[in-house]
Amino acid sequence: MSHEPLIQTNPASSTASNPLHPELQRTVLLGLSRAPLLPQALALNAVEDEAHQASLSALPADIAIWQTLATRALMNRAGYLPSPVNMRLTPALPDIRLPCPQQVAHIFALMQKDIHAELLDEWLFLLQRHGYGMPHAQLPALFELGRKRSHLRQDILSVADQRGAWLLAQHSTWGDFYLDQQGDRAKDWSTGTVKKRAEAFRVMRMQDPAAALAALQQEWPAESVESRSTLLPLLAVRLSMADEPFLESVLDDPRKDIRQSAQQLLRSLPASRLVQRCTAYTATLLQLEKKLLRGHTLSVTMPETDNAALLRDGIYPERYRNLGDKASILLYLVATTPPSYWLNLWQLTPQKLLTLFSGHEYQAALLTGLLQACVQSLQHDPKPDSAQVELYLLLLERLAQDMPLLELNPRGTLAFNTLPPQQQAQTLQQWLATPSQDAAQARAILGLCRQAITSCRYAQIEQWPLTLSALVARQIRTLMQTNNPLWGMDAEFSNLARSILHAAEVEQLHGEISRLPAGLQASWERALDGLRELIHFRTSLQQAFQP
Amino acid sequence: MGWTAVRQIVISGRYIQTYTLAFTKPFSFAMTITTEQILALAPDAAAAKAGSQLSSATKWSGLGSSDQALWGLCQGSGKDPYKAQIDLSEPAFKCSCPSRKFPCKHGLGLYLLYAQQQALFAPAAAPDWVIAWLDSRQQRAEKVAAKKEAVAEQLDALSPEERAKKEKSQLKRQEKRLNLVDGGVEIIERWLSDIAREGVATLKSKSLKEWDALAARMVDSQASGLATRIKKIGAMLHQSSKANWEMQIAEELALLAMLVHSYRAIDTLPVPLQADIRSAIGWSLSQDQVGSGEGVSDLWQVIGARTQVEEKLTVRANYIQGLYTGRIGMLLQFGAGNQPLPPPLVIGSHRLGEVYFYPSATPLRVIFSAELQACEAPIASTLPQTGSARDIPALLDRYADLLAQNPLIDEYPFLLEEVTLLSAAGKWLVCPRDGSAALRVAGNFSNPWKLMSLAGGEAISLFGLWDGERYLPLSATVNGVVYSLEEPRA
Repeated sequence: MSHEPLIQTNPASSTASNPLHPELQRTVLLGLSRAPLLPQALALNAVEDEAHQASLSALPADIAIWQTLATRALMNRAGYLPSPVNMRLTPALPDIRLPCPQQVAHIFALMQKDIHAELLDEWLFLLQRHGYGMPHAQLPALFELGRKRSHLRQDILSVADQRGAWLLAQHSTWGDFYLDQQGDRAKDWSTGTVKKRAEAFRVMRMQDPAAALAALQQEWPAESVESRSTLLPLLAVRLSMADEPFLESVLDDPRKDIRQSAQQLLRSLPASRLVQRCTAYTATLLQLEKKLLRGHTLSVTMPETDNAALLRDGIYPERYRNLGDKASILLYLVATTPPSYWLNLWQLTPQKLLTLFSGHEYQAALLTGLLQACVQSLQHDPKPDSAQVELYLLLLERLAQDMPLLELNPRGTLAFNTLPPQQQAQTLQQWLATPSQDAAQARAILGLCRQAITSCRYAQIEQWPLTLSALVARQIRTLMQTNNPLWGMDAEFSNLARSILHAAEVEQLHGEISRLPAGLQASWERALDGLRELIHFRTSLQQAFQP
Repeated sequence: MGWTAVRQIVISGRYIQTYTLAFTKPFSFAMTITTEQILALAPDAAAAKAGSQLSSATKWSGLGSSDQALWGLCQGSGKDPYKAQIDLSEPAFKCSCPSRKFPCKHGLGLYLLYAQQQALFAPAAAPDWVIAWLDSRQQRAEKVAAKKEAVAEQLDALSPEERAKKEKSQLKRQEKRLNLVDGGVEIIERWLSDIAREGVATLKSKSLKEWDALAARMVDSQASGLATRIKKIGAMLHQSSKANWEMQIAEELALLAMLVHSYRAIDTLPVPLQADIRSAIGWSLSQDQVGSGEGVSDLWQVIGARTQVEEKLTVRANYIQGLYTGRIGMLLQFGAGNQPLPPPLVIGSHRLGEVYFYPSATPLRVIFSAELQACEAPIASTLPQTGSARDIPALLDRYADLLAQNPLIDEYPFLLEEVTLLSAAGKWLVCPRDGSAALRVAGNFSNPWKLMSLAGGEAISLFGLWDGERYLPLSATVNGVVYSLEEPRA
């Protein structure tokens, strides 16, 4: 059944081309009592519709005004004129990788909902290995994940395929993160919020560190405290000795947090004046003495606590638990001195250096300092010499045997991922093979493994031997005999289960629950159920990739 | 309705033989469901996560399936395991756990496990508790049908006097309501007249409470539609920080004035439009009234959904399209207060059978007939090419026509073919590859990059809502797969 249209549509009219009559607008705003409705205000558009205007004029003004507005609104909506666009998008090239199978995409859909998202690196690794590309619908979610988890970006890029590359070219922020594109950096840097400026600065550093430094130096005197403390740590991107003079000058900044950022950056530059000052001072404190029949011994003179130069370089006392002021300063000084300095100065092997430091009454400060120096050095040196690596491995080995040292070094494993996979596996094996005397030691060893694994990419983990799983299970078994699973252990177990713990071991542990004291059974069942679930998910993930 | 009956559904006076040929298996809707689609059924993210954690075979015992249902036992914290079951025809869920979420994590876990490892669900005779539930569902459906039939029979059995008495009492009730609504409309007219006299610029001095009070008076006048509009304008006024807020509010008030003006002249307007006006004022129709109209049979595909929260009411609009008739329908689902929404229709899924359109000058809202059945996707080549407006000029023409027939419509669903998404000067546009005509994309569209990624700069098919100024994409079809563009619920 058709009817006459209730309104006459006029395709020529549009909001832009049909502005409201100024008189009508005045009446609408001020009201009829202050701005009476004039007949010409009822005109609907440029093309006068006299009949319509006459019919509106016949109505009471308080009705005519609304009717005119309503008709105009409907005409504008009915007569929308689409504008042509001159822009053309170049379509994405056809993907090269194989289409992602549905069951593989399902796993990602679950991880997108934060269901075992910790396995994303393994999923990406397998996707890459099987030659699959990322499903197009899920590329934006993946790129977003990569913004927050920088260690995934390279893997994401490798599975993004042509569609992903095309998408990154369209999205300036993703482009910056993944491809370091040149967006409107200059504008963001000059007028953006602190967050935008920081992002612009990060990209500028990636592209041209010298120009970025110059820009920062120019603005530095006028920068707010917030900007300074946000921007300065970004000099870590492509940090080099060219940044050193500026950073050295920042050591006199009135704000402690800004000074600390500068000190931190300078410590990672072995040739910096800060490191050289610290090294020179430390060298006066540590002396190698040759004793008859006892070989070499280490003589340590404790540092001063009120040395203004040390304070400027960030060497503050009383920072470490269980260490006195002077021992803490000593620790910092050793941590700032490159480990190669001692090896070269005294012509010692890494083992001998370790023995030397271990035998001293200040061994806690000395070994912690040495470990921190090793981490610093390995993290910033892409090609460390073998002596440094050996020293680090020896120190890691020591960590599992020396609980006080482990407590002092919660970040001692930060450079674990810089080791070759074979050495990583060897270290884990050494740690896990250490028989635990009690639950505390078992937990400490498992915690140490978890920390080490956290920094590793799946490509490294995948090369570790399956035998590690049984060793992890053995440590868990020690824990089970004596304790309820302690708070926070779920996370530790999860991390182990995502990498080295296998289903068979978990099932075996689960089977042993009935042999535990009654008070422990329920809590261990819950903990191991969580592990089983994670391992089941991991198995599903791996099976999804099976042809 | 059995398989045979489904095969015999008549569409436009002919058997849909091509469609029946395309079936490989009857009613195996669950066979093709994906993890994403199942997770979309979850009432919230926490339920989705908990459900997925239960999608492990180790959590379940007594798994089984039949053509109609899935079931399993999941050990919870209680002594007895929870009995979870799924009627695959909708899908509908039932679980013996005390959760108030629907579907609960057990239902979701069971369904996810089925989607991942169908081999675990060996075909078996359903246990008693599953049979009892399926029977109760069947009985409930039969009861509803029987009740309808009984009411009809009761009416038929009335003597002429009884009938006259009943009609008289109905008329009396209607008259009472009409008087109430007339009173409400009069209040609105006076109020609009006052605003016209005082000017829109003075409106900001009115507190939100005054708007709410006026809306409450409309509720008392049984004009809930007017109440909703007044609340919406009040909220717009108090939330708007735009420079030109006065004219936007004036436009909304003008459309309200048009509605009450139309109501005053309702008898002079075309009959279908009268239904729209009554509905906009606040009259509602019962499902029986809608179902007594002529049904439209087709193979319906779910092509998009949109969920909106209006105060304490959550409304989900599910859009379906008849693959033979080309008609688009909208099924509304409601969740009031803390009550969760019913499970959504799975985007891309198909249903075969009849739907009933609400009377309207531009029919859109539907209810499903009890016989509508979930079914597998047809083979695309067996489908006819339905010819509704599918390019931008056709969309604009069609919208203008619809607006001319029913000035009360706001946004209306349209399919667009061979279009792509562009970003120009920070605004998203939908346009054909040659850029000849571009529509602005609604500012609240939350998934432009998913759409960009799906399209890759090529032309694709879109489904969305056009309101005369902006297009809101709700789904995209690429290589025959429908992708929802609605933001998942938190």
